[in-house]
Order: sequence, then C-alpha cells, then structure tokens
Amino acid sequence: MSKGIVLEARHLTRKFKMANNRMVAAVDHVDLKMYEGKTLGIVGESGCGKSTLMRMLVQLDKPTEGQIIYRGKDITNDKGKNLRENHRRIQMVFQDPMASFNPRMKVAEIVSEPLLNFKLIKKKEKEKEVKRYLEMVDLPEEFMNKYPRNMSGGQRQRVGIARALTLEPEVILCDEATCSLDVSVQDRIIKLLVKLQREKGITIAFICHDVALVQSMAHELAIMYLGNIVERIPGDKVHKEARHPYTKSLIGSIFDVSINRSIAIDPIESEFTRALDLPHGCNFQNRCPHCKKICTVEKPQLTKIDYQHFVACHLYE
Amino acid sequence: MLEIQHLTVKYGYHPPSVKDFSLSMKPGEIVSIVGESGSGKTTVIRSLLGALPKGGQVVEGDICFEGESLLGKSDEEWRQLRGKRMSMIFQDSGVMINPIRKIGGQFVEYIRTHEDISKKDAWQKGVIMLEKMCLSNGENIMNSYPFQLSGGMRQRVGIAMAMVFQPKLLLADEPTSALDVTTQAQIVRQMMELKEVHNTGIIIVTHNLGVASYMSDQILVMQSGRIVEMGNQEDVLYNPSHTYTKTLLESVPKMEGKRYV
Repeated sequence: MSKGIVLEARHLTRKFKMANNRMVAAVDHVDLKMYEGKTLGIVGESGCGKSTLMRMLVQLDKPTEGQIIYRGKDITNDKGKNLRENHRRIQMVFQDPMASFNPRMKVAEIVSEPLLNFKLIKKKEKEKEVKRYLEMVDLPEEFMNKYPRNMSGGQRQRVGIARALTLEPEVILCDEATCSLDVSVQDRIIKLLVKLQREKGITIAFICHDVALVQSMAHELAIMYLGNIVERIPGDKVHKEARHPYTKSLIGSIFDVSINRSIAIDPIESEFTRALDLPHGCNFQNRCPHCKKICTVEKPQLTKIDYQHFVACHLYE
Repeated sequence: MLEIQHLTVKYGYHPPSVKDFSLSMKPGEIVSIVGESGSGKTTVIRSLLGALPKGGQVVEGDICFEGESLLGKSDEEWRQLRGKRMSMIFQDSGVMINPIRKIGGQFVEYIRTHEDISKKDAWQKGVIMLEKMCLSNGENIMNSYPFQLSGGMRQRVGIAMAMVFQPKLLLADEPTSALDVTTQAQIVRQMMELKEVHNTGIIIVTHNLGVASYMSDQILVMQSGRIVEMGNQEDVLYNPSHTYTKTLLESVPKMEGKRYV
C-alpha cells in the first residue's frame, strides 16, 4: 500500500447496454488515485462519464470491470455490513440538493438522519449535534426548523455539505456541487470546502466543467473526454503547462472578465461524438486540430511527461 | 430604439421585484444585465415582451420600442410585435419546443403564424435559417425530435427560430448557462455574428461576467430589483464603484487568479 492514498480506482470500466445489444463504455479503463487531505478535480463536458465515475466510487453503481481500492483493500464487491461501512467513509454532495433532500423533512431531520441511522447519537442529542454541524457550514441555528424549499440554493448546498460531514467521512465526492449557483455564492461554497478540508484533512473529489474554478481549488486535475482520462496535471500548472489539445481548448473557451475583445474567441467546432459510435484510435480525433495518421489507428495511453503530469496524446510520445 | 423609463414591476401585493429601472438602447447595441438569481433580471426581460407571469404587473414607468409605448397594447397588437420585431431565446430552448413533435413541423407553424407563405416555402426558410446557425444538415434537424439533439444544438434551433424575421431586438435569458463551456463559446460567437450581420440589438441576461464582458457595450448590474451600477463595458469592469459589483468581479474564477490550495 502506497502511503497517503485513500481511494484508488484501477481500470474502472462501466458499460451500458443500448439498443441492438450494442455496448457503450461510459467510463473506460480509468485509473485514479486520491491522496489524503488533497483535492482531485475532474473536468469534462456533459456526457463524458464524470458522474458515472463518481457513482461507482460511492458504490451506487457497480463497475463492469476494474477495482476500487480503499486504503489498500479491495471494496469493489462489498455487500451488506461492509458496504454500509464504506458508505460511512465515502460521502457525496449532489448537484441539485433540492432533488436529494426529502422535501417534507426539516433541516434538523436531514442533517441528523445519517447519525441516527448509524446509531452514533441518541435522539435527545439530536438538536445539539445539528447545531454543531450547522455552525460548521456557517448557517445560523434557526435553520433547523426550515424546510428545503424555504432556503436559497446556496443555503441548501450548505445543508447538503453538513449532511455529508456528519459521519466524519474521509472522502467527500462533490458532483457539480456549485454549478447551479451564482458566482458569489459559488465562491463562498468553495471557500467553505477548502476550510473544512484544512480542519479535518478530508479528501475531496470535485467534478465540474469550469476549468478556471477547479484549478483554483484542486491539487490535481483529471481531464476526462468520452470515458477516458486524457490528462492529469497538478492544479497550479494547468494554466501554463496543459498539453492535451482538449485541455487547451477547454481553457480557450473560458470567458475571462478582462478578456481582450478584439481577439475573436476560438471555440472548438463540431459537437461531441456520441459514445456509441466511437472511432478507432483516439476519441478526440475528429475535433483535434493536430490530428495525425496514427491518431486514427492507435489509442494513445496516459504517459508521464513531467513530475505528476500525464498526457494521453500521440503528440507527446 | 428602446427606451425604458422608471420601470417598476410588482407581483401581487409583494414589494416590487423591479424598481425604477431605466435603460436606453441604440440599434445594434448589446446590453447585458448581470446579477444574482432573484435580482429581477428575468422580470425586466419578461415585461419587455409583455409576458409577465400571472399576477405580475407594471405599476409605474414606460417602455418605448421604436417610438411607440408598449404598455397597454392589446393581445392582437402584441402578437404582431412578438416574433417579428422582437423575439426571445430562453435558457433551455428544449423546454420551449414541444417534445413530442418534430422540429420541422413546429418551425413551419411558427413561420406561418407570422407570414403568409406556403408550407413548402416555410420549410425551406427554416432549413436556411438552421444552416445559417451552423447546424450543417438542416433537413436532418427539421426531421428530428428535440430529444435527438444535444443541448447546444437545441439552443441553436432556438436562436434560429428567434432570428427568422430578423427582429430589431433579441432578448436572451441566460442563453448559455445550461451549456458546457465549449458549446457556450460557440453560441456566444453565433450571437455576436447576428449583431454584425443583421444589426440586431441584444439584451442578454446572464450571471457569467466573462460572457457579459466579451459581448456587451453596456453592462447593468442588478441587486434586489434595482440597478446598482450601469455604464459602458470598460467603466463597469475596470472602475466598479459599487461594492456589490466589486464582490461579483472578485468571485469570478480566473485562470491565473487566486488559488485556495
């Protein structure tokens, strides 16, 4: 067991059956390592398999192939009691908290439910505990008696985070936790997550499609394209050293506030290939400006090009 | 072209959602309205189109479009105006389109509501519009159901529909916030082209300050129903005077900006 690795995915693959018995690989041989107290950002367009990957990591979905390793132990096929223990250590914050809460439960119930489920507290301690967790996410204690519908999006997301924290998990997976929020609220949620990570040493995986946001808070970034990870890069290097053409085009599509208006924006044209009819070779070939002959034949593998920097592209082999 | 004076909109007996909103706009100008959700951005746009939700009502002020006041128009007069001289792009055009009908039929119906032409010509017109919006195979799109198209494609269909009659004013309510960053860039480019080719005036509501700064000539910042700051693009972005504008600008994630870890 390597030191510091909390959660690891090895050759994780998830295939879905489509009409005519065709198979779609939503996640295709993904290798990931999540280190203690660090943040891993996962970036990609919709449909690239980010959420499927997350769902497998929290064990809401079973991989077709591959293993999930938690602290050196294979947990892929855990059932019953073990699975329950895993859920306790790996928690998730969802994109739309409104959809993940029971609309008829008050905040106090939402936050204390996991604690009561695992018999960590007694019923009469409920109030005290809820107060403690609300304070942790900077919400006033009056919120205990509110319903989810009576709160703003940002407040709901905080409750979602509080609920994920209650079981003191080692890993929190955030699936686009901030993308439905306004920028200023988003900023506050990110600050909160970073603060909690510092205090408790939680490992965070953060899914998002905004590269600029993720790079500001992640130690490492994994860029996904159609089920594959095409680049892994330390967060502080993204701006200057991103190599993969897809990563570059993602960065090129960001609208910065101080953007130079005289320069025409240069987005990658054409739509996403559907995961069903994937071409031979590199998945990105039909949108790539540097497509060579080899790209249509052979699929590039993740190769190390620098310290902690991996790229899957024939340009850098 | 467009002149809004002291617009105040109320829903029922609640305090006004939009208060004292004034704006004047020249043809071919792009104005963006920035602000958090609940700040009244959408209400402004909707009152321009005379499409306030039930209970919503303009209690004060006036809206003048090409020299005539829009308030107090009859339903029939509104119908003449909407679609032809003024049109709207929604946040998710997929919701605007009927999910169980093909694009073509709806497009033809839309064109024939406003113009007296044959179905065949209307179809042709639709195909041309779609192709102008960089949807390469127009015929194919016309024969598709909305769910067969991706989010970006649906949004282009929405823009194509809005642009058929080359309106003088295009209202866009968060046209890119449901899209991926790459698609967003494509749609923004599309809208900039509209301005250059047809001299369309655009009011875009967005919470993405980056998009606003790239597109617009004027920027309005709204907070709880009021304009807290307005001016041309440079003034607002580089010399913000209101604290709220400053916080907004600070919270936009930047590539070379601050890092938390």
